[in-house]
Amino acid sequence: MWQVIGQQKAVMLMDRSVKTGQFAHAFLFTGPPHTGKMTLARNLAQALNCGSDNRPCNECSSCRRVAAGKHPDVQVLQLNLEDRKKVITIEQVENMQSNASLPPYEGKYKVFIFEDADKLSHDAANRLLKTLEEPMPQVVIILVTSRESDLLPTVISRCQRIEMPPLPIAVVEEILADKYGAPPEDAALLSRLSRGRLGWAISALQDRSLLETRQSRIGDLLEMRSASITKRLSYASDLASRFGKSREEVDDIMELWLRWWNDLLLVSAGNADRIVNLDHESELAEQAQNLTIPQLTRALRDLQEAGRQLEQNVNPRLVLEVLMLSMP
Amino acid sequence: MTSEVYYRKWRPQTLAEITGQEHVTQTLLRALETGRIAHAYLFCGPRGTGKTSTGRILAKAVNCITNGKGEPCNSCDMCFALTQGRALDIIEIDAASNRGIDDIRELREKVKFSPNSAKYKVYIIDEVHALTEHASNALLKTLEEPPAHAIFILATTEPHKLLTTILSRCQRFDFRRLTHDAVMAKLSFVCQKERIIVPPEGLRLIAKSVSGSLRDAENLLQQLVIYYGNEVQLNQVEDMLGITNDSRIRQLVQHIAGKDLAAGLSSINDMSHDGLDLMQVNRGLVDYLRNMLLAKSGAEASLDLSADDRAQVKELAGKMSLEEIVRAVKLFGQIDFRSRDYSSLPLELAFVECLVPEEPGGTAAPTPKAKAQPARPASTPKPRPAQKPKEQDPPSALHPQAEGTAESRLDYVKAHWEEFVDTLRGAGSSGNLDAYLRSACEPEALDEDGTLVVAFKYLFHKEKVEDTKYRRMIEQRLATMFGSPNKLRCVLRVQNARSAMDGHLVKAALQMGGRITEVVTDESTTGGSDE
Repeated sequence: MWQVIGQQKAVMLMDRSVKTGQFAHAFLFTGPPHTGKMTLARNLAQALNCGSDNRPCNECSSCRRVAAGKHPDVQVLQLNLEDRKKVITIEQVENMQSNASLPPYEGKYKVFIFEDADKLSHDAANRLLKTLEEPMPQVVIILVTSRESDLLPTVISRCQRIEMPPLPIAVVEEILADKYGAPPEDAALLSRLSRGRLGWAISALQDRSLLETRQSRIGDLLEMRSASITKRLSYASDLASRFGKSREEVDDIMELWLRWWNDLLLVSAGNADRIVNLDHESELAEQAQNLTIPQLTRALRDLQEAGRQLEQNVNPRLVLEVLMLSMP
Repeated sequence: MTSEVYYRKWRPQTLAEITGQEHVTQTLLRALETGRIAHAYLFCGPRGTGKTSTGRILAKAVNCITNGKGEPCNSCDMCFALTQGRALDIIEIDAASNRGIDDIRELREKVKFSPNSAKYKVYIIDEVHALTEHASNALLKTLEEPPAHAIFILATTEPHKLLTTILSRCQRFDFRRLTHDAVMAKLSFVCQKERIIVPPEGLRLIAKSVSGSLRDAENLLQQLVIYYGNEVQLNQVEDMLGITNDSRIRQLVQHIAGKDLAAGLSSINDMSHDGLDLMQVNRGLVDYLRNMLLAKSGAEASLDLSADDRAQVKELAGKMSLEEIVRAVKLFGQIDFRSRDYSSLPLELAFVECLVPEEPGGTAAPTPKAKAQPARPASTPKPRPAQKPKEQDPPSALHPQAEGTAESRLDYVKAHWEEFVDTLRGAGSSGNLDAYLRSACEPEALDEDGTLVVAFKYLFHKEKVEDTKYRRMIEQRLATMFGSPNKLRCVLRVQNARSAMDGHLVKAALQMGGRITEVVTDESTTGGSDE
């Protein structure tokens, strides 16, 4: 049983590969976060080492130990959090290479899973190249990434590239309603908010705090729209200090704003039925009245630009202040 | 047992099998035939173009027992051992894993010993760009004058990272990206051997999407075969590559041509909701718009389309002006999909901007120059000879224009400003005075008393020109050339919009209750104002 929901193409491909025995020695699973890449990678590792007919069975001892991360032949390489390093180091790759030169300990294949392969340092990635191209027999390497553009093209070209795109919104909505028993309103809202990332939608369904955070952020946004410059600036500096602690949080907030302005654009252009923030329809309609389309496109461009600048390590406080000042 | 992937299984084994790099293989073949083999080769080029393969074949060819000149036979013991990777004298080094100076020192020690069984000891150093600088330097002497039995083959995708001293010691071969036809030829070869049936158009689609890397193409082919079995239909290839069919793209173009904002946005959203790959959609869209551009500009002959499609393209092109099409191509062509967040926003934005032009004065705040424009009537000022000139200087016959109004004289000065600057060439400030005047300033106004006001963009130039001795010099020349004006006053006009009152800080200050008491042309080039 493959445990990935949706992603039929990727799952079919893996299933057929395992059944026909025609599989590559290196895979690249790429797609946005929360689309089931790691689940599929673990499943593949299970399937390769599983003894039953219906691989992966998820029941035999081998499968269970892979799932628990205790199988001696399945190794997951990730950022070493204890070292507080920001990359997967060359030493980690070296260890993996010496490990890969030995035959499997008890299973059929040695499987190496690189979680966040984009975090491989430049040298580490180069070091991996030859192993990735022609590893020992019985070695399978799986790279998992949500930022494919950060990988070396030479690395990508050596792998069988499996894309795991976001699911269509309607599919997410259906899965939420049918399999997880979400009430229709929640299913509609969450599927849109998730932008097709099923994993996110499910965790938001189970953990209401995600939605509460969103509500409070929308509250902030609404407040800022009418707030005085002083308030806006103090909010910007507040955001900047949060950025120092957690980039992800500010990225999420910017994302939320983008979706908000995008919704406004949709409303102004007569596509009100396609908005994401379903629960704020009236606010959106009201705000859209006072804004022209060029204003909206400019606001969106500004937001995009700010996001780019933050990524390029421009002083976050400056970027955010400019953003707050230019917001209509 | 893992079945071998195609790019390993069908790795070429003779020089003739290397696809699309004839300029390399021909040269190497000739070198082998005449026995003129260099001791160091450098193969560089993009991924998947055959560098490592060529290196291995070359190693085989020089050591082949039966032939030894030209192609390897692939049947003698030596060739066999090499193909299996167990020949002792062919040493393939992964430079990215053995990148330190100690690894190279070890290599230098071993290179001295003569080969075990082969004629030559061949070192294939792959990914050589990853060597550290010290390691590269340690290699230099060996690379320049290795023992007679050693051949070095370096391979890399990033030759710009190599030391120039390494580059100059090697015979360099640049591998090219493969053409679509070359990729197709190799793919159909693999198909034939593997008994796979793929329509030629399908192979062409694969070739188009891999940007000249054979390894990528072979990977895609294998994915297709695993997924769909040994017979693959064209639409299945399209599916795998995420290529959108034409009708939806045409629909979107129709919305652009018809300026239908709501319908266009909703069709973009539909495509996104249906899980189409928006990057491919955009690629198709730009292609389509480009075809329209060709049709519109009369280059119809270069359209590679069926008669039906051509008629449709022409019809749509008829609905838009050339400028509109160019604008659309630009807007959609600029979309950057590198971040790959699968959002439909970039497409939506481009679409909206295509239909709704920026508000006047939107992003581009008027520059001070533009603001100054209305102050002067745009129409050509008529000389009014009736009015007597007011300057004290007697108008000389040489300068008839000096008689006009201040305005017309200013125009005259402006028209001849470049000539004037030219006359200053080589004068003052180690001969650079003209340079200060040329690019950094322009005449702005003419006062009643014959003072020319020159606006500078940068403080530096202004200060230089204001230096008394240079100003004198310029004033003299002004007098000889124009008669009047004959005095000079310099002001600073920072050109960009930030200097105006619409800076973020100024706005913020105003909203916080500040008020502008004085606008100071700030000396520190940035310009700005304070309350």
